Amino acid sequence: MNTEKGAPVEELTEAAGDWPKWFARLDGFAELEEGWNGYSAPAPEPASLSAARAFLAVMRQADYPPTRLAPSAMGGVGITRRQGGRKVYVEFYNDGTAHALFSSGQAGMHTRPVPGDPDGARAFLAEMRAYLDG
Amino acid sequence: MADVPPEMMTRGRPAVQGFTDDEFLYRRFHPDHLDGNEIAIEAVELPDMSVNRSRFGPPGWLLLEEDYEDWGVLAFRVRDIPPKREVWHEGVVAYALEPRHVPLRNNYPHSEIWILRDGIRIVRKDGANPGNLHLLDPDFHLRWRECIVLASHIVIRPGERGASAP
Repeated sequence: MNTEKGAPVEELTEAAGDWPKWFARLDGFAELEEGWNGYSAPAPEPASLSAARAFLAVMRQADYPPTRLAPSAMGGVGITRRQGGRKVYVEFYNDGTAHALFSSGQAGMHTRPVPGDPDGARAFLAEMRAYLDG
Repeated sequence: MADVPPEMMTRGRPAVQGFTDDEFLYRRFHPDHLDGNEIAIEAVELPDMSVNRSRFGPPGWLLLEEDYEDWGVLAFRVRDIPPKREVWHEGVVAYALEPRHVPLRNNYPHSEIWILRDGIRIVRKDGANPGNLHLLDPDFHLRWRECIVLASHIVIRPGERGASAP
């Protein structure tokens, strides 16, 4: 998302060299203002940006990049990894908590909280991989 | 802002709370809120998601302002919410989603999707009002936003502004 309405979005790929771009994209969300979505979405706050950055770091450690990173209409930030007909969407809220949606579309979905500590985040990432790659 | 069509102005007309199951609800989205061919879940918010109802105007009205001319519009039907039916969450909490016609001065079709828990409306923090978003279970919240994504289709693709109903 560019803070300028309607601006083009830079394409990111899964190439390892794109990690700095993912982090830069996340940092850019700090510039958003309330109402950035054309309605009344709160801007992402430091707590959500910090939690998302920590999770992105865990993904980088595992060399398991997102396929999408975007601010959420709820406030906060969403990180998505999509594979085949499945996706895992992790939403980092402005109060610092996070919750994840595991969805295979009409075939079903479930959710779970995402731990904020590094060990818990790594365990969560393993669960995410099992769901998407399994 | 572009000229607002006269029929889009509220001009003293009252809110009309009758929604049919087949009625479309429209919401504009930023071009970056497409994830492949699917609307991204980040584009959908609950509670109090702003939408325009098809009974009172076409989707193109959402893109009249210059700032939104390259944006898109998604649509879903009232029955996709589903309205006025209690949805039991984990067998213990009764939620209801409800479309409400909330006309604005320059946008008569404006409406909102409300969520009620055991009859209490859930609202977000707004200025000095702390809201009661804690009543909204994160599981229910994510599931229903995803349900709206799955029920939605694009009626105006980003960059293809138009004013025709689906």
